[in-house]
Amino acid sequence: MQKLRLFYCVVAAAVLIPAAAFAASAVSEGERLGKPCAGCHATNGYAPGEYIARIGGQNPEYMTKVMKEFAAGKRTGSVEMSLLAKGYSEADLAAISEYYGGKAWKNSANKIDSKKSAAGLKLAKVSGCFDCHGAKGEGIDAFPRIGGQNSGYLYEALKRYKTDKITSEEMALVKDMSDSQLESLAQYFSGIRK
Amino acid sequence: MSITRRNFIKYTSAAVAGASVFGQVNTASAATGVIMPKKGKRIVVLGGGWGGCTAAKYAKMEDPSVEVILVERDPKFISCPISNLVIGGQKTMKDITFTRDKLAKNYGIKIVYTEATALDPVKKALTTKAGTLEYDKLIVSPGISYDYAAIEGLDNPAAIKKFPAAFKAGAETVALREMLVAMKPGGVVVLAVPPAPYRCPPGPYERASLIANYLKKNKKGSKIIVVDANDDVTSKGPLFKKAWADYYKDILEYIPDAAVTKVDASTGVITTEKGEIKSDVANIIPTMTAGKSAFDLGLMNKPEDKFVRADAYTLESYNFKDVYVIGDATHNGAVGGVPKSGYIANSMGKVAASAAVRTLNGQEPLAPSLINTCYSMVNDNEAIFVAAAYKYDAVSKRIISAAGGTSPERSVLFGHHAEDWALGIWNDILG
Repeated sequence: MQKLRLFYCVVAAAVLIPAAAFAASAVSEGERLGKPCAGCHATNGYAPGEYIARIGGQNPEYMTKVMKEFAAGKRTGSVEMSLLAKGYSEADLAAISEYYGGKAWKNSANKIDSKKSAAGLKLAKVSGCFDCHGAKGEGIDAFPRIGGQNSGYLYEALKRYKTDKITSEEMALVKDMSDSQLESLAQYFSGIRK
Repeated sequence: MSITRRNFIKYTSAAVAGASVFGQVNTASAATGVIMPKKGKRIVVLGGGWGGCTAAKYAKMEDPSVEVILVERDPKFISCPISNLVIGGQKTMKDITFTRDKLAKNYGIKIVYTEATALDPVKKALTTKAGTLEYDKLIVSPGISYDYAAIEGLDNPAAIKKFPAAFKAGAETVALREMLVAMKPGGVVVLAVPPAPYRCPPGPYERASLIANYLKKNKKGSKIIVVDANDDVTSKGPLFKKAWADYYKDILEYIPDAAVTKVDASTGVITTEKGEIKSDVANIIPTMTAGKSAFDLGLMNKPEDKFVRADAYTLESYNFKDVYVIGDATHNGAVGGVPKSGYIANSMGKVAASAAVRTLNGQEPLAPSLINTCYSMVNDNEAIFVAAAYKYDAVSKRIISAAGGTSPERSVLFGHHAEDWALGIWNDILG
């Protein structure tokens, strides 16, 4: 009887699986959990505004770290994310980061002030931003992509590093900068289009 | 004009080609024949609002081989979120009015502009004024209807015109805005909050804030009186009350437990459980139910139900297999404690689309995962918000909150987020 049942199962599987497999939609855990994020961050994480981060194609290693810090209450300046991240396990947050990190990056279309951007480039050169973030701000190793990120988001993040709302040894270099200098940096990096 | 033979052939051949964009189907008379005969796997989505457009797009994204047909009455997509800013004068109708063209162009979704009239869940056929559409899966996003009859004196054209609800963005939004602009300084505005559950819990209070903001700047000596059918502000209460105390102390009066029982369109007198108010402009938001199509198509599960019961895991309706229900029309007792918000409709669209696509392909549906974020402006540039993540609870078999809360305070940065939130979610629905 047991064998017979197994036989039917195998037959049924043989009949059903090819059709199903042909059409099967592969949805990763990161996609299942990550799809609702697009309500704010837009489809594929290409946020069109200025103040919400573009996450599609962001460095997944960096994103995982940040998401865990949101959940642990270490980045309270991001109020929305500090609330939301607590709803997911560490594995969930890593999976969501992998999902968005796996998308191709698309640069911001924010309007850029060319004067501020030029000042930002000078400041970036003397500050050594490119050493960690790459010549185009594309991110190296665990350092995030900032080239083509949305301008308002970059500016707000820089202010948080400056005021210790996010602690980072590498980013301590912004502590002596004025808000206007931070804005220039944000304008420069956001305006990278290559 | 009914479906002509020429049009019929056009639709049919386009359906075979499988990637055509449909213009408006003329709907002057009901057609009963099958249009766009089904060739392969097909999902029909009824309702092209926040939930429906999302469902159509995400179904196509998950499996481009599935034919997706979106059925909607109105060629224009007018966003209800942000419409309070039109009423407050910060935005115009143009800012919140969009087409669904990109859904057709970018995803190959076929859009039929018509009205649904009947559902045959056995034959799996949705009858519309343009003809009958066969489906494998039907996702219905009915939105809400107003129960005008619940308030004495409101259920007639004159009163509906005089007291626009403006909880469906469009002509009602414009009407309310124009009334506020036309009002003489020193006037009294009444805003009536309906009993929960209703679409967009913080919506009435955001609107009250923005009307107060407008009166303060433009209509000296005017007042807004918020009469609430509920015993307290139903969402972001402390944050709204703080803003009202700080900015609108002498302009905005809040009266809880004051459901409107009667309105008089000839005098503007609004009668509440706590007395009468003579209004110059009154925004009467009636009790809400699931959209009319939910009733017409037989989706209501119990005679007394006002909203549609659906399985919390898949959003498949209790009544009919392969028919899914999403958005504000869903019954909280069945799906769980999610707010009737645009963001939840967007998340539900993704859940139902995935469940429909996967079961159509012989796969198990995946557990739902949802988010809600909702910003409310309290003046021209400051916002407050609520944010929460939701997951499926296998014990209660409902969607439950996994984490969440409100903003600790109002801020200009949250105001920027509010604006970008709209851009992001409009992109996710329509782009």
